[in-house]
Amino acid sequence: MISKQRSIYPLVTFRILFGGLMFFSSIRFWMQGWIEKLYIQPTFFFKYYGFEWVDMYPQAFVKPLFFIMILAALFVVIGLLYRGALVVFLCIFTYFELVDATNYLNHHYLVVLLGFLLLLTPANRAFSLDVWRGAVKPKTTIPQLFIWMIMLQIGIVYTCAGIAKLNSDWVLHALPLRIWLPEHQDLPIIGGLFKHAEIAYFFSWVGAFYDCTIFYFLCWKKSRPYAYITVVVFHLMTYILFNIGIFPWLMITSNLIFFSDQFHQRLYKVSSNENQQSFVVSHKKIFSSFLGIYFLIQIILPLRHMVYAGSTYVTEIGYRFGWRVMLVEKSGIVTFILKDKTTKRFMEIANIEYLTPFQEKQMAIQPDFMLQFARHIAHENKDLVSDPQVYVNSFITINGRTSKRYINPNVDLLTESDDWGNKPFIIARDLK
Amino acid sequence: MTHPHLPKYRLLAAFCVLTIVGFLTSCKDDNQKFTPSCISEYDISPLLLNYSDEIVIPRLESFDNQFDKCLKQGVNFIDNPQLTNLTQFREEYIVVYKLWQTVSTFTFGPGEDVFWVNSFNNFPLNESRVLLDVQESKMNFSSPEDYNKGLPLLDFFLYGLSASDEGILDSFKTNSAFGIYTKAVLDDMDKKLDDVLENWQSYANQFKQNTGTTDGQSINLLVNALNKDYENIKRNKIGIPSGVLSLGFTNPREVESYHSGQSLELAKTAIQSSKDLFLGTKLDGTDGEGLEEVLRSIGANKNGISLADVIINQYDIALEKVDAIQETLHESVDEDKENVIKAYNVLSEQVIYLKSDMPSVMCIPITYVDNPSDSD
Repeated sequence: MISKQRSIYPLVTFRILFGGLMFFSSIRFWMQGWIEKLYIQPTFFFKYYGFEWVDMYPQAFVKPLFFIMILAALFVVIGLLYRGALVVFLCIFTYFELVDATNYLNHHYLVVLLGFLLLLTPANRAFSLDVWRGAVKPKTTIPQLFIWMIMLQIGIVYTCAGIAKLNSDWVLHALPLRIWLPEHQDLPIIGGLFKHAEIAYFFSWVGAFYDCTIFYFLCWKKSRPYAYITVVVFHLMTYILFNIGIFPWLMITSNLIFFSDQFHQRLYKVSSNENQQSFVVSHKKIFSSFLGIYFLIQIILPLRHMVYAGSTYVTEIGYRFGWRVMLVEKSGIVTFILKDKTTKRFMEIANIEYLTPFQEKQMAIQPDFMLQFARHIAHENKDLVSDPQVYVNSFITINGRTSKRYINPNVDLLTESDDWGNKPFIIARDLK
Repeated sequence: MTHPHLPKYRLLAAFCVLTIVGFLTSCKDDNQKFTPSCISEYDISPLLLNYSDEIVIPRLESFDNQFDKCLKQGVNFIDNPQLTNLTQFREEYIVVYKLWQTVSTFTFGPGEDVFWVNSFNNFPLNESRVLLDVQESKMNFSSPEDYNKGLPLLDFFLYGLSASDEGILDSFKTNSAFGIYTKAVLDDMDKKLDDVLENWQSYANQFKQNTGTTDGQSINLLVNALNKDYENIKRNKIGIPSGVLSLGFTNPREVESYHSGQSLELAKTAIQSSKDLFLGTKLDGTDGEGLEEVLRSIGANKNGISLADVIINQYDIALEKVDAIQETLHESVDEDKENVIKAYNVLSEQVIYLKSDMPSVMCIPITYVDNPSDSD
């Protein structure tokens, strides 16, 4: 697999579209004012488990960093200083993801992974300024593994997203689409349909079938063109209906990688008959085993939720990095009580004095954030409360149900720590 | 391994198996009996009609009428600062403050443009700042940030400038700036109230037509405003003075209407108004189509009890608990602490029903939390 060669052009298309999408989406992010709202306004940032050391830069660095990232994306498109530019892009992008876990988005995680896989490939060996200026030797073919690994990554995303949809709320009750679709009744022509539950069922089932199977239909040569048309229609539909940013575009552009060498070569007006210059991987064994480990992790991470007690919809344990995309309508309210063990005095915390509204909203449904926030308020009030305990009144609602108490109100959150375990302080664990 | 496609097929086969395994394991969750009850198939037009034509506009009109009386007495008093005039002004003012509680919820639509709550009832008042402004004749009410005005300012001027009525009259007699300032505050409110009332006449049509559930649609605005107002009652009227947000150290000076001592009366009026709004009760007291009817018709239940009944019951308990507090609130936060905290806890419990349960079963997002991001 690693020795067999294929045209480099599918990779070149991927490089250009990936870089281009990153370029435009980063500019969009800036123009929307999200840099201020997400990185400058907050005074506290939620951490990812294991990445607590990633800290926010002083505010003055934020916009220059973002600017460098946008520039780097552009360099990836034109293939100038390709590897360096991609490393810079990925580092800054990943940094901005890690700095506040509030902003976790599955498709941003996918950007990191696809960018990383792209970095392993010599995608600048054709149709790039690096070739034009003579910095690298042009190549016409590359090991097909380079293309397959990207395809496989996309396949994992779809398949996991599909499997996650196979639950009673999605399949039997058409939830949460029954909640979300009627919000679009003002859409022209089709809007009127959305209040009917039948449409929600139709969309739910089609969506689940699509996610579970599209990878195979894209792999199979005969069905590929129809599968790709389906990809475009499906993702454009999600673009219209949901506020999911660049995800539809990321999938529509990335899926072109499933097409044949000839398809891609035609885009660049090159023929397969030109002088073959092959790119060969020098440490084949190391490279293959590295990829093996990578994909093992990529399969274990999304499935890890199965070993935990209760449902991931409720507990959120195993949610991140699991491709559980647009799966549930969930919200919560959470009130923290800071208590002084010695004086027995206590007070309710006004979350909004410490967090942005968006952070508060995310914290209300994510128990690990509550642990971090408990520590934060204890720290911030250490002059007032020298012997602190933090308790929480927390309620969540899921998919149109009435609320239930989420976290054990009798547990001092300061005595709990985030880990790979079951988080026993979560008392609501199932949908019923 | 001679077949060139073999490895690819193996990979695909492995993937297929993974999908099937995933499929089987994911069916583990039990199929509970549960039918979602969103209101998308429920016609809310009669409800919106009732709210705009029978509740919002009549309540605003009634508030406006009373305000005009108060304004008249105010001008009368400023022109002639005598005790009888002060008493009459105070009487009308007390009624105005009470009626304010029936309209404080209407922060959306025309109310949004005039910073409704902050313009009329931003308490506690920064009294030293106000005295300084009076001294320097600074009367800039146009900037929306300047919230040292409205009803809390009247409370201070009519009751708090001095311990005795003579002292208050003296202040108005000796320093005309107090009169000028009072008039300016009254005019500011009058202007805003007229604007809101006038704009509601035309906004009502739009309100009745926006029958969707998303951000900006009428039912969404209403539910969000009801919640915001209810949380203000809980937090500002009872919570902050009681000390639950400050380690039990009470803040008696931060009650609503500290000087006139009407805090408990106002709180009860506010809770009752909130309840009437939930029920859809018209101004004349007859029942109309409200959120209660919606919850009943979609069959919303909480632990086997109708959610509408749970909410109504909780309103009643809250009224009872606030009623149990000894007058006045600013004394009771220290002397009758237990009852104050009880009332606060009962008020807090209702937030779960109003802000979490009700929007969830109706499938209305609580949107006063804005979303500066995409989702997925």
